[in-house]
Amino acid sequence: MTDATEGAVAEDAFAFTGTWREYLPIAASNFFLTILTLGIFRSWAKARERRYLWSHTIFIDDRLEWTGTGKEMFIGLLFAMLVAALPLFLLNLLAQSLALHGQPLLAGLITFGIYLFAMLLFGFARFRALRYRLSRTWWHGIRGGSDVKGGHYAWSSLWKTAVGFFAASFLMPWALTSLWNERWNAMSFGPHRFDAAANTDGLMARWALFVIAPAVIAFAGIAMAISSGPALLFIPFLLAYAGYFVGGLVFYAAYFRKVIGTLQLGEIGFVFEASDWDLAKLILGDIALVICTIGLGSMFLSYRHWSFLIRHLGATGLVDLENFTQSTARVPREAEGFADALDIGAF
Amino acid sequence: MSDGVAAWHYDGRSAVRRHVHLSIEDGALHIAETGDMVPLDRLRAAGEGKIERFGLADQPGWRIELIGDVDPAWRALLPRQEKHGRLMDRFGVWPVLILCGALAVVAIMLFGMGTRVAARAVPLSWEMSLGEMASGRLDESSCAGPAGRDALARLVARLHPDGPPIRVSVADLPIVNAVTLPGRQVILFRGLIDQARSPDEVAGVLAHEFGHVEHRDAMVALLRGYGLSLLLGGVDGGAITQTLISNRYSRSDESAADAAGLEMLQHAHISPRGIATLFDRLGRMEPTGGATARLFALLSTHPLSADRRRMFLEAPAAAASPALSPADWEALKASCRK
Repeated sequence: MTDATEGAVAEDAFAFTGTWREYLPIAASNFFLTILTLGIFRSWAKARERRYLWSHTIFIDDRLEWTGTGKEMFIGLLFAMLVAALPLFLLNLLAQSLALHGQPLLAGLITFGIYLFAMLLFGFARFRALRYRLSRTWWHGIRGGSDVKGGHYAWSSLWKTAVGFFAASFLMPWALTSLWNERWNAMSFGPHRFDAAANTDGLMARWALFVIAPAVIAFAGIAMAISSGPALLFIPFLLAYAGYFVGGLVFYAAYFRKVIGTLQLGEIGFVFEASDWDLAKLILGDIALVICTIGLGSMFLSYRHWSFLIRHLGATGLVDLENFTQSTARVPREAEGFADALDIGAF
Repeated sequence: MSDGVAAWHYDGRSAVRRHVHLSIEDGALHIAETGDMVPLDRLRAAGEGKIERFGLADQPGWRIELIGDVDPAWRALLPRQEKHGRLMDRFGVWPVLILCGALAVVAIMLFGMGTRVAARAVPLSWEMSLGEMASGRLDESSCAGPAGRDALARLVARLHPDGPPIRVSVADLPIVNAVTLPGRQVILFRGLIDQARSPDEVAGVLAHEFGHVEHRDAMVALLRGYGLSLLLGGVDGGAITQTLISNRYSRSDESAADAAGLEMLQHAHISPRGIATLFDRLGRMEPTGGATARLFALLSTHPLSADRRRMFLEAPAAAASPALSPADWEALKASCRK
């Protein structure tokens, strides 16, 4: 007997069924084992964490499944360290010694080279991490992936980010959305390619707020302090920080609503419904959690972020299971070592 | 509808979900609706916690998930779901935690010994060129008065009469400290000489640094720093672990250098009390916080515990004579004055 093979997707198609009590033993043993194994367990900890999070994430009628292993992540990390971290370390040493030996120009050039290399690596790592995660994510016995290697994306990421800084960084929303599109358009799930077509409509005003507000507050504060005495100088800086925080929040909330809201997979569309205030509560909650537990609460951050994403994620459109066939994208073996080594996420 | 245990099934080719009924016959799982017979030993657990899901190693995406509670008789025949990972499921969470703790202690010890052995294995010529790189421009800011240099050379020769030479220079900086760099180099900062009231005090600090030179501690510290940053680089809580480990190491380095320094002082018939009196005096005048505190770096990088202080104060100093003649001492003090 077969379930219905075609149907409309309900708005609340995504659900998260995990509970923090159930997750606590996993988080705690991961945390302590990671410290006790001097960090080596980290890869296995991540695999275990994702197995829990994925298997408590429901899409329509069934849970996701994570099939990545700790072993492959560890090997990926070692590999990334060898080809990325070691050259970076050696180049840095060389630059320092050249600076000490009175060769500031050469040292500067090498430092610039290090930056370029690191930026390239950053883009590459982000692409590969996403590709790896999709290739290990299964739903209804079907997985995702990509046949694109990511070298081209790394260059795009470098030049688009650089261009983004032009014009007082006002091209940044364009850089962010266009890189998101490039990344996701290379990905697929089952037989379908993702289709990402985000533009910057509605993002520019928020970006302006993010960039200008803290600076205006800081300048106003400094002007105030000059006229009233420097004793209260910390207040404008505090306000500027607050402005930066609020501006960032307001921008990124809209950014994620935009990029996820314009993402399509076959006939499925996605929605991200977190309001600015929802995101603010998440981040403030993170900060309170970490501070109140003197850092121990940090073991819950990935759980909080994942469950937040899933709870606010929705889908629309149609799924045709009969034609939702197995992915033919190659299965990468090197896990997400580069992203791991550089400590960045996939989204 | 046939009898059997209800389950969901995916064939791994399309996303169509089938509601099937299972039975076990002759060591194989029989799927009534498809007629498939899957040997039980080909099944592997693909669930999480209480989710009873099974897959096949050679057929990606092929899945069976039992609906509802599992019959105990079936449970015994099917592969067990992983709960915490293979190792912990087998031996229990606590034994694994304790074992890892013990292994961590052993690993830290081995790492400490390993970097020491590795540092000794680095050819001295390599270390010398590395030292060149590290000292760089400090050389240019060193005090070059010939009289002071000769006086310092006599003190160095007295403390360290044989073995490969140690290069000692005085850097014209107001910091009260001395450092050992790779490549058998010791740098005394002018601030230390300014603060010292007798040549014995300078000799005490120098002897301690020579202890570091003999133990190749600068090289060891370099390897350790790199090794740790490589090992713990991106680890959550790695910074804490790293600080803990490297503090632990450097404390043992310091006491080993103390012991070696004390021996050198006694061989050279110089009173070991100098270092204790210097630290006592600096401790009394130690400024709290700010940039001046950084100038008194000697106190923070070489904290003088009660034990260390006693060791230097109570060491026999019977046949001791001043570390430098009054004229040499004056010359050393004057070496940075233009």
